[in-house]
Amino acid sequence: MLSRLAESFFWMGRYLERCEATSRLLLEHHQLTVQQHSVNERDAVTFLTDLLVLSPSSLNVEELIAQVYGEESNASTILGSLSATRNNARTIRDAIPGDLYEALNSAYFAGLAENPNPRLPGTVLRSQIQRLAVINGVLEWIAPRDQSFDFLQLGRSLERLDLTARLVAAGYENIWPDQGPATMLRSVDALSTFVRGQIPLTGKRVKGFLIGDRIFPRSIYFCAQTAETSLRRLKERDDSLYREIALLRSELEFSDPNASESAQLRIAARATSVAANTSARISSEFFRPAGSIIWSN
Amino acid sequence: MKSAFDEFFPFDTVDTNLLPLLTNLLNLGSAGLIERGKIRDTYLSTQGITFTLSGKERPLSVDLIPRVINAHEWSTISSGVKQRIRALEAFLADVYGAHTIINEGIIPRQLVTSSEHFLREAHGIQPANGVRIHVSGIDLIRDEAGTLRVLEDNLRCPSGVSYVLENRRTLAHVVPEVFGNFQVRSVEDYPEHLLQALRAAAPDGITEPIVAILTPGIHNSAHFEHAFLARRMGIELVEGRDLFCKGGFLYMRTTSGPQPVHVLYRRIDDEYLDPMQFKPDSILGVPGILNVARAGNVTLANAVGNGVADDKAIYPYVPRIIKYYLGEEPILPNVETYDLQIPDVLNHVQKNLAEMVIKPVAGSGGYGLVIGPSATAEQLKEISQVIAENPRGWIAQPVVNLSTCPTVLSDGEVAPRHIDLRPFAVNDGKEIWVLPGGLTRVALVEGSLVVNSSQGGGSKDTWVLQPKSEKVALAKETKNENPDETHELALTIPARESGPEVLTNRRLQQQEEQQQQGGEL
Repeated sequence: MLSRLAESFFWMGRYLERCEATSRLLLEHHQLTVQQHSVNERDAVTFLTDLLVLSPSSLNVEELIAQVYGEESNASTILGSLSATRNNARTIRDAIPGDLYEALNSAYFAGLAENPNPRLPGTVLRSQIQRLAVINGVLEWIAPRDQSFDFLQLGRSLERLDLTARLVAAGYENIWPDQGPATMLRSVDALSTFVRGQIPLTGKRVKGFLIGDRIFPRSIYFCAQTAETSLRRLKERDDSLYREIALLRSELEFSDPNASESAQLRIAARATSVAANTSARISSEFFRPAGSIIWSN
Repeated sequence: MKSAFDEFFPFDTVDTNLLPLLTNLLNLGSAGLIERGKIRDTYLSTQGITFTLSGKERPLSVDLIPRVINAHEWSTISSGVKQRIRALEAFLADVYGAHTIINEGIIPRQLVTSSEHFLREAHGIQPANGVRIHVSGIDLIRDEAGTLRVLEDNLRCPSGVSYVLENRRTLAHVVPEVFGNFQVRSVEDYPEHLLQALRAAAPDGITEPIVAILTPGIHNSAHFEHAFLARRMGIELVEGRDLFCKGGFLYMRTTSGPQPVHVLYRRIDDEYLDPMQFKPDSILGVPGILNVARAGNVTLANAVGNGVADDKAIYPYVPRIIKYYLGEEPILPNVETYDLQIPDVLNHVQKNLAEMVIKPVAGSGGYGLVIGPSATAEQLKEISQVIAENPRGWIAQPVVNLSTCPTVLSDGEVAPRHIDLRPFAVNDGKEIWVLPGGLTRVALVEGSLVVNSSQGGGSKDTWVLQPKSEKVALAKETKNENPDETHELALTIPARESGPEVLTNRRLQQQEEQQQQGGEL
């Protein structure tokens, strides 16, 4: 397939995931800040901008909502990642199913039209998440499982892995001991999956779950495994491409479930860099080189 | 009738602590409140936070104004509830055992034995960790003088706790403004406490008990709650047909064959539980389960036969029960109650019916209730006859004008409506834990004193405030044992990646546009 297509599929997957994950994070962070007043508002706000690597410019929750919902030009925000998803889809419109483009387009226009009320963001964020689910549903139903799907899957799982790692490293449980652990789980909608396996709900257990759970699709382990599978399908013989992510996967597979919290933080930091390195390798292996026109004879 | 106590405006003053809450809400204006009401209704129905009434699923409406209880008052409620549960546990152990309280004449034997819920089938069943009342809901009301009183005990299958948890999230979603700077105690960990108590009740020798919830099925009014608790505790929600007894043990049918069940949190009534012992035509229960419980191989929570302790005719004796077993004065007083089996009392009640509430002993959910002041002469005449014919079947209480709380009406106006409170307690055998909050039910019809959701009542989020404390200044470094390490980790977390700027490359965009100029539409 065309490198340009591959690249757009990859980034479409990443941004789609980012948009959904950021919406959930914001939704649950808002719930938390409304209900819990044990830390001052500015600190509670900066906590999320730090997690999302946005500038710490918001002074209160209302500004935070506006900042994270964001603008089209900043791909780390909800609107920015939504717009970037659609932009990538536009360049490969010929190669994606019509229903998919339609679902994406309606999510995009609804997202633009629905600026959330900064004091009352819940409704808008929830419908945002639902629209993104429609896109994912169309993909699941009708997207052909060829290389294009592997690239999309790859982008999606690396982005997921990266976000879960950041969530683990964020320190919710230290700052909100009461509701922090549950908020981490709700931020990836994993609360009921978690409690099926274990109680009580402590920060350490929650982090252990987010890192190593075998069946939850957003755990670092699961994402690493999915990314590895896609990479092997794309280029089985070149193991330098997937060596790093496979090592992370196998380390998690055999790691100590009772690892200390500092070990958990180290894994999270490592996962983030594995995601970045793998992304860079994929880029140099499959995608167009930077500066798209090559002069040569 | 004496005027009701108001939770926000006690004795015609205003509770200044609560003023910011009301101001923030009233600032929305009635149009704003109507809009928020719609957001709430949509949220409740899409989330499926419902109860089923006459076969129809409907949302249990939560009012936009919470009910607030301060830390000091909560500590009284909490210790009062604990005291009551301790005494009622002792009472149940006694009436299904040695009968000392009866033999000493503190409680008339006939009163106990005539109770519909006194089950001889439960005699001699020894609960594993001594607990019969694993979960309870004690209904409290506040009278005209501002005193909290116990209206009734629910020791069988008290429902409503799921709404306590969901109401908090709903309010934060719909009216975040009202939370202001209030430090409200979290209710999130109820499922964890409940699961711990259920596990602690496992039969002797079982270290990794399998716990399940037994529901009558999706048509039951509380099915949402059953599913909610199963999901939040991570345990199976089973119906009678999923279970069977064999060789003195209880099993559930699974894809990998029969799996034992050690603790069953059953949300179906005693008489439907075991067709071999009770209603033979019940298809909701599990034949033989009571024998398994008697053999000590499964713990039923709550225990069979608890209904004798929350029988409305036993209720007037609870203060005596507390004194008898604990040697303590009741922390939470009862509402004055007339025992109609005493002829003089019956006579007195019949003469003053217009100031009384007459309740069926066996009833629940507000069915069959007659409220004197709002009843017609015909109704009063009828009930007068009914209680004379069956004095054991009814109790009478003077009408208590329940306290009121400002409530948002459907037209966006705010007006006082009568409320009650159901705190929930969980007993794990070592400690009784009272959920800091509870279900506040509100009678939405003006002047109505009937708060039951089956009678058109709604609910309120119930806030228990933290004892006053300073905010924690957030210093991330102090949270980690090793500040250097935190610093180092923070440095290694890179910015988020982004892809090539597909459409925002200005030069590329301009050239692409120019290309098209020749053939514009």
